[in-house]
Amino acid sequence: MRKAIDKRFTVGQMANLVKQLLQSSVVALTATLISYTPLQAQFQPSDNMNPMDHGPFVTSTISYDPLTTGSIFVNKGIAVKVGTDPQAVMTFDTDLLRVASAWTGGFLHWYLERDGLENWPSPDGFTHFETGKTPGWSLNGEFKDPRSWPYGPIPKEIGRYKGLYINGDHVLFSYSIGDSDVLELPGFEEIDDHPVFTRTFNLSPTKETLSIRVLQVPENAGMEILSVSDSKEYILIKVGDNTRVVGLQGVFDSRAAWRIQNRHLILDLPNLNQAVQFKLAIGPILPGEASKYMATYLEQSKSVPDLSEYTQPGPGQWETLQTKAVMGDEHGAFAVDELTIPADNPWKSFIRLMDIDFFSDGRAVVVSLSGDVWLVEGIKEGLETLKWHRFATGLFQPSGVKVVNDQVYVTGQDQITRLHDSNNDGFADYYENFNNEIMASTNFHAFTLNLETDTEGNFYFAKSTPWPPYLGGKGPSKNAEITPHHGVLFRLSPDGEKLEIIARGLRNPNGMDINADGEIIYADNEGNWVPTSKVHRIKQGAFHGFIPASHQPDRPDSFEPPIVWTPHYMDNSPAKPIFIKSNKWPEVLHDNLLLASYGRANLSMILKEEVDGVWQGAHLNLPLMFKSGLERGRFHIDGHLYLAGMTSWQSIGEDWGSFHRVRYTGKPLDIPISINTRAGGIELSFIQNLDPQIATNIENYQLQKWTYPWTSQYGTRGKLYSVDNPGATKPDQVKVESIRLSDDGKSVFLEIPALKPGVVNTSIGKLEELPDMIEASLGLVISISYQISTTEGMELNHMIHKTIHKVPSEGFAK
Amino acid sequence: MEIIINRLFEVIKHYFMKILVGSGFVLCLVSFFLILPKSDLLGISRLYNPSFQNTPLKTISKYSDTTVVEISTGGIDLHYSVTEIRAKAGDILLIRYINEGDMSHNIVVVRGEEDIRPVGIAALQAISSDWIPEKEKHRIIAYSELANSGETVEFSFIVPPPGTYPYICTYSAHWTQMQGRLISTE
Repeated sequence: MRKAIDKRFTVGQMANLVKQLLQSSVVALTATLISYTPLQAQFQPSDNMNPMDHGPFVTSTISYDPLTTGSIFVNKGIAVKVGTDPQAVMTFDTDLLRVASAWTGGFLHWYLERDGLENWPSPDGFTHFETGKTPGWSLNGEFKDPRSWPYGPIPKEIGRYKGLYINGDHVLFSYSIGDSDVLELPGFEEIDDHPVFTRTFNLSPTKETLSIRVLQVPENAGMEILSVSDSKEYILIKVGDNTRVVGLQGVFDSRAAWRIQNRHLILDLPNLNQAVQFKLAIGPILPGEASKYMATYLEQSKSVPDLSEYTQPGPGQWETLQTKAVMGDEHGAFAVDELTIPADNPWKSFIRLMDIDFFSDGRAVVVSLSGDVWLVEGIKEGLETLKWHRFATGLFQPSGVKVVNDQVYVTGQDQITRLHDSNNDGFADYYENFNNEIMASTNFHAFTLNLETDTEGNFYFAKSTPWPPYLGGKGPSKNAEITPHHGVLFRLSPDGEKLEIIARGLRNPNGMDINADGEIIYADNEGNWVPTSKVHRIKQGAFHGFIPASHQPDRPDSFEPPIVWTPHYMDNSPAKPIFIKSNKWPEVLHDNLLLASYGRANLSMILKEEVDGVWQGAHLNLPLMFKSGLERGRFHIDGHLYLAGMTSWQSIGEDWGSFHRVRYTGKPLDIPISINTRAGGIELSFIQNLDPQIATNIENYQLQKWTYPWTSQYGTRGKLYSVDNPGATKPDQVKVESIRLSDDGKSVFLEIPALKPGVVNTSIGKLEELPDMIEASLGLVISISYQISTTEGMELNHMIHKTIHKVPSEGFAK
Repeated sequence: MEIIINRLFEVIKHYFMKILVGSGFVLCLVSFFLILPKSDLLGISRLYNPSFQNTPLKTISKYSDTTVVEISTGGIDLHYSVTEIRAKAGDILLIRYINEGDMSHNIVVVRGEEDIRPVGIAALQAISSDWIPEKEKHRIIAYSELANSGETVEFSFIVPPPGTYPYICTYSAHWTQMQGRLISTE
């Protein structure tokens, strides 16, 4: 325990006291003269999701009550605004191909926690009807859930969601049931002041027998069918003194049949030897036997429309916005330009950028976690005015984007969506389900993240894990679930048909990259079983450390060694690691890595080496700051790095979203170009000649070492574990015997005799104070601080963290 | 410059008795006119004389009224147990910070809301100086030492003139969540 310093109060201290008093008064006067500045954005949760105009629909998991897992009534719901006066909403479930719920009043309500992300939004209105969480259609008259987990889509043979078309205010769903193609248009009409939800269908012929679950009804409900004409009828559902009316309009070869089973009203369609168009009109529950409004409505209604007209592009949706880019200063080796985002936009779109990619003509596409996809025009060497097109809206937390053959693919929590703009007007008109096999379950933290491709055209993305995790029987039961999709890396075939799991044990894989050799890297955030943040090289089929997502029968006793461990004080929340692949960046840096940080809103370099097949790296911050936390980055064909980002919890970002470019200016690099382990030491190489006197002065280097434990505790919370004194939580000093300068004057070798060739063993046993600790060697971290200079007088001062798993047999070649 | 300082000290001593009787208003005026904000030697950075910073309470309390506040943090919380301190301008404020949390923390009192971010950002590059950024010290009124997990630290300072002064933890960007406000009253 530290104690206050005990010193006698001297005359000098009295003078100090007076000075402090006086200066405090200056401070206070100044403070009172300066008007109050609002708190930084991240200090207060945002309510920005509620006022936002999300477009004609929103895709989300939706819950009646944010605190009750059981009240989640749809995992992949597309809430469509079907009426405006009053606001009416119908939610389509793309997993189960059913209408999950319909309500009037308001749209969705988002909660404050974690800026709208911690709890699922709720219907902001009065629910008129809903269906149970089983398939909405049946080929055999039964509606049992055929899935082994209650998440993910039903088998394709039963039904498959294809996508949705947008045409003006209309949202048209396309899917198949058996071998019948279905178009479904949700709608709403007020008839004699009664809110009536409509579902209009076009079905292609099929020899299969189709049944549809319309809505939930009490088991004891009475049923009476009344005919209006050959093609129009309605059914009265009576419960006690209340009545609900459901109308049916359509020409069938024979009559459709109604029944009530398992608390649902079911419509059994007759054989569909030819295409049919029919419409359901679902009225509200009303006291008495009010039904005339439906009879009148059916009498007056025209024929059921051909919905194929809505598959054609409609009118433009959103006006184009402009912003002014800001070029950065070029004093250092890297300049940071700001591609100003239209944060203040007519739709209050809450722009939180998650990823970026480019079209062949150089335009950028960025995705916002709040649901939007934006196209950005105006990218050129000297940035000026940028044009922003709101290309798509309503997606489920988009967090990855990839352009393939000039077509946009977006990762959402629900699916990979392929966006089509068939008339090239800058608005997506068909949101195609490229693959939706991913399970969207109950926990907010099980994000679906990233989208990258390899040279063969395969897609890669990952799924995060629930938080807090379910540990040792503790924790909320909703987190007990680890589905087969939690904490894994996926590969999806170029045609979207084959989804495979290729790596396990990922905790929160917020950022990944692939190089031309097919090497995959990803970053993971500190948390349970992840003592501090790290960057991994993916080994296909292998386990990467997060025990709850090991997906194997026995508890693992080791995991793939990370390329780097990043201490908590350097980066609490890394995002995308990026292979440096640019003809404009120094060649000596090629194939090394950059690491974008969400938590620290900065960019780091990871200089990597390979020792006996193991990648191990050195992490150092670049002196660049960004307006928000960073999420993803990608090199443009122009050779510059573009970075998209956002700010939310545990990030120091100042703005909610940001879009930047990092340019190499050609000025001398003031960072090392390699940091390599050698037998008996570490070699630091620069591109400049080092001042020999300063560079070889051992006083100018400070080294410490430590390791990390593997435990279910949430991170080591900044603690560094001694290797020399297992159990102690202070780093060990590293004894440097000598500093040697290379013949070319550009490298120094720090002689550390303890670094003997072979595998470094850093096991510190099992520490009792750490829960569920598994004894393992997680690698050595050496912090290297130096204050040296070049012969030209350029100061080189850095703090670098080098991770070492193996020491090569080769020594320093002077 | 040395001469100027000595002369300034003479003036300061002249007013010292008035300060001790709590004439805050006079103090403010005097300091406002006597100490130029741009003065290097008498600038705000001199406020951090460590010999005063951690002077024991029993010693300094002889010279002014004293307010003692105990603040703690527990577990993995990024939160101070006390997020609002009220103290009288001109009093001595002693803060005893008990870190029962799992991470290291500190308490840094800054001049205003607009100083939180510059100090917090600069602190990320000030690991070697225990997360107190030298280049932003002019924004800081007082600060504690770094309290590692399980440690208790104390620091004391003169409560500045009436106003609201944020205090933050500058360790490892905790300032985005670990904040409180010192409200200095008449």
